[in-house]
Amino acid sequence: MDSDGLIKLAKSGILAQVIREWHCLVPQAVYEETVERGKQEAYPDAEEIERLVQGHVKPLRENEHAEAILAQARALGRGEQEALHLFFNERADAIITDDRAFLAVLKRAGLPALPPALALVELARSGGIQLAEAESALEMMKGLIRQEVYQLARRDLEELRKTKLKGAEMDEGERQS
Amino acid sequence: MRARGRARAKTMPYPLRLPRGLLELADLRAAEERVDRSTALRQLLYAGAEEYVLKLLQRGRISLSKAAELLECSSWAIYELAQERGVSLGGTAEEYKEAKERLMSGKD
Repeated sequence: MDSDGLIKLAKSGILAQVIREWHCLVPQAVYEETVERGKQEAYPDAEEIERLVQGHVKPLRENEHAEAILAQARALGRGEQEALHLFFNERADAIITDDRAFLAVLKRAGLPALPPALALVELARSGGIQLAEAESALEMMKGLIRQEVYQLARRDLEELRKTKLKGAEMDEGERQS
Repeated sequence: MRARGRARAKTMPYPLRLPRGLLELADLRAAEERVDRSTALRQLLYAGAEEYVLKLLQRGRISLSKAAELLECSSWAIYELAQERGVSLGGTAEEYKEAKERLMSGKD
């Protein structure tokens, strides 16, 4: 994940669960700009992230596929660049990011991105967190994401609640019959 | 707001002709903020730079990491700055939907 993903998940109080449920990795540059620099500037969440990502930070190992994509993408900083190298080196499933410039680069390259709001919906869908936990996390993320994205994620969580309720009712019906 | 680490920022001289009014404004700021004229000018320059960086970030022309590099601060400071100025950052509804569709097609 990049700094954007890391900050949004940490601020929503769901980073520990994401790291626990999925095998998440953090590039060294992202660690430096969020944890080290954040601690220098006395952001309290930086210390919490430091504790949570221990053992998940990866130093830069250059990858030629990433290099080829980055040659055309000058809008990215070191954090996103290293996230791309890491994605290829680790053969990752997706990059957790909500950064528009990075999302555009990933889209052009046909690579999968997972915005943090969608990540918490998916985590709730897979049972990695309780639905109520996801709803509360989304509320905490609200001020950091676009209102339109908040509404979509909220709708997804409402649909998930209905689906789970329906499933529970069917199970109950089967038990009674 | 926290200091954004500019005390440690590397500086270099740059020759520049400035309008008289701007210099007068810098002097006013210098008196108001109890700093010297150069510091006041740098503060005014940074205020414009911050606004422009946020604009680029919001439009997706630069990334969060790049914005932090340009303003020589942490990613946290960029978010704080955006919130102070009421600027929404992050992907759009369309980008959310695209990511969701891709995720769903991968599950099929």
